[in-house]
Amino acid sequence: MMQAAPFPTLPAMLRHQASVRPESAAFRFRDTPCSFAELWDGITRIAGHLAALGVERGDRVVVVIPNGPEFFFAFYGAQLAGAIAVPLYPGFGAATILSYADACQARVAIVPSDVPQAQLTGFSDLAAARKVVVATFGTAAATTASGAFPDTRASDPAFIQYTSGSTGAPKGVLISHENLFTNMRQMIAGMQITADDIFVSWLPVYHDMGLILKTMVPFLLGCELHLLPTDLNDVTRWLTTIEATGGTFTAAPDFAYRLCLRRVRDPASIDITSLRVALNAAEPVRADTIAAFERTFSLKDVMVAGYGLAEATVGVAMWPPKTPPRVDDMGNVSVGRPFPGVEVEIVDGDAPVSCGTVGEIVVQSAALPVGYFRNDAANAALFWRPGWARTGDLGYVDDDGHLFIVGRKKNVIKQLGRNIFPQEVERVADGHPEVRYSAAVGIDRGRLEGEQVYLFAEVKEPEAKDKAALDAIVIAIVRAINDALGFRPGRVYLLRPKAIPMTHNGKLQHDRLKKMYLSRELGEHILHPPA
Amino acid sequence: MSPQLPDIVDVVRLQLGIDRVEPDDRLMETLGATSADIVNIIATLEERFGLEIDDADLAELASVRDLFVIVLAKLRPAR
Repeated sequence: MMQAAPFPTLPAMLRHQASVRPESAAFRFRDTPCSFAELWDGITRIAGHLAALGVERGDRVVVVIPNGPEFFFAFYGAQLAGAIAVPLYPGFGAATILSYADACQARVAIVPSDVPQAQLTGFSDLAAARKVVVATFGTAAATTASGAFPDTRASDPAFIQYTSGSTGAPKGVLISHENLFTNMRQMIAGMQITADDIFVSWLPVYHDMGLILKTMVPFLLGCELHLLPTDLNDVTRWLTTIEATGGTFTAAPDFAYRLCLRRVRDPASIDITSLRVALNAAEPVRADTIAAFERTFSLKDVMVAGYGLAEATVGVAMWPPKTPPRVDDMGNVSVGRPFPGVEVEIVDGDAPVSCGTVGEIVVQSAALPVGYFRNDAANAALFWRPGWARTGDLGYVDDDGHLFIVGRKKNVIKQLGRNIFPQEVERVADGHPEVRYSAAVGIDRGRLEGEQVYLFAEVKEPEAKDKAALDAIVIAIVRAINDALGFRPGRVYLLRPKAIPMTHNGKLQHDRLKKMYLSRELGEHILHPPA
Repeated sequence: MSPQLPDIVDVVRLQLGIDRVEPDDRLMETLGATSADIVNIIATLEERFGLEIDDADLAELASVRDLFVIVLAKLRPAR
């Protein structure tokens, strides 16, 4: 049995750390230390400002801040003020941020100090129309901490993790303080993490693995944590930071490790053999990547595959380090057995299937959140049986109880470790006046970039358009997607009308489109780029 | 037909969603390309011009013109 959480809430845990080890660094961001005392001071200031704005227990506070100390002050400051933090990807445009703020009926949005004034004014005006107050981090932090904050309990939600905005209402998993402490204990036991581990991470702190495993766990255990910006252009710095700090535990999606193999010019000059665990998770794990990375950097059984999802708080399973990876005939890499306190079952529809048979993975755990925030339809579909969440991922369990992930049930696209629903991309592309319909699918060419969003858009009246006009449409679509969602598609194809396969009732057939593209059946339907 | 500089500029414009791109623009600093965007630009060039660009070729990549130089070198291998 798991022990009761020593702290009821995350702010209580951080207050404790600030009192027992005030001068120790909670983390170092780009080498600059932030002590637990400074962290707590920042948290209380933000909480004081939010209280002065009238934020009450259970209100939602959107936090749109990239990696760095400001994020933690705002994220935990919101919780200390009794609110539910709602971390969002800082690359989102104003309209996307506000659509999430609408979905969770946020009272306040906290943005970084360095947002240009014109942009801030524009955003504040848009937000005001929805009764969302925009607080810049700088103003909020200038507040002197006030004394009393609402009592929060272990069962209160700490934050909402939006998994992605698919069709209809966005799905935000409501994660409680108790869920977090439980899942952290499961991961600590399963990954054998100790206070002596040295964490190095550039993963986004506003998203589950980067937030919970790579920052909350070290805060809880008092481990050394070296945090970097989420800048994949600088993978060398990630590795040299591991070398310089003697890092023992890092994590990233498969793509980032592949990028290291490609970008690091002189791998022999970098010694990262201090690593105990290089967790590979958040997108399909390639056996080739593990072999090549370990060979290149002289590691042995350090890179391990892991599996998790926000619907189980975060961590579900990880392959044990110091054990050779288990790879099946299809090239799938096992993520090992579930963590202590977590169980998985494989089901087909409603019925469990036998060992070795592929089906949908369902998860049972004491860390299972109550469900999605105010989304009855999604909650009705979430649970297989009471206490068991459907993951939407397909997999199987072998004779020894090792879990293998083989694919996904949903059409979600995993681009660089980020979950992207086709619908959110299509919604933006369909907003172009010359687009009839669009469909986004994930294509993995088996190369460095991994799975990428390929967007197919049917264009109105193609015969009336020359190359320059078609170019302009592609450029406008790419820019609109980047502005709204913070990434660019891997490819954009413009198609003739009625090229995208649909069912009788007008539902896009993503799988069929993907097959047509890969088998070159789309040929004459493609208007742009010209063959 | 061997590619000309404007063909490369075109690939970059379309991939990044930018109307005007100059040959000396730096992909990351000037045009705001991410590493993922660059990987996708390379993939498009490989497909479009039927060549294969390896990791080592990208060491000096900074500007749009550098891409052109890389593509040309691949099409006419030095002997």
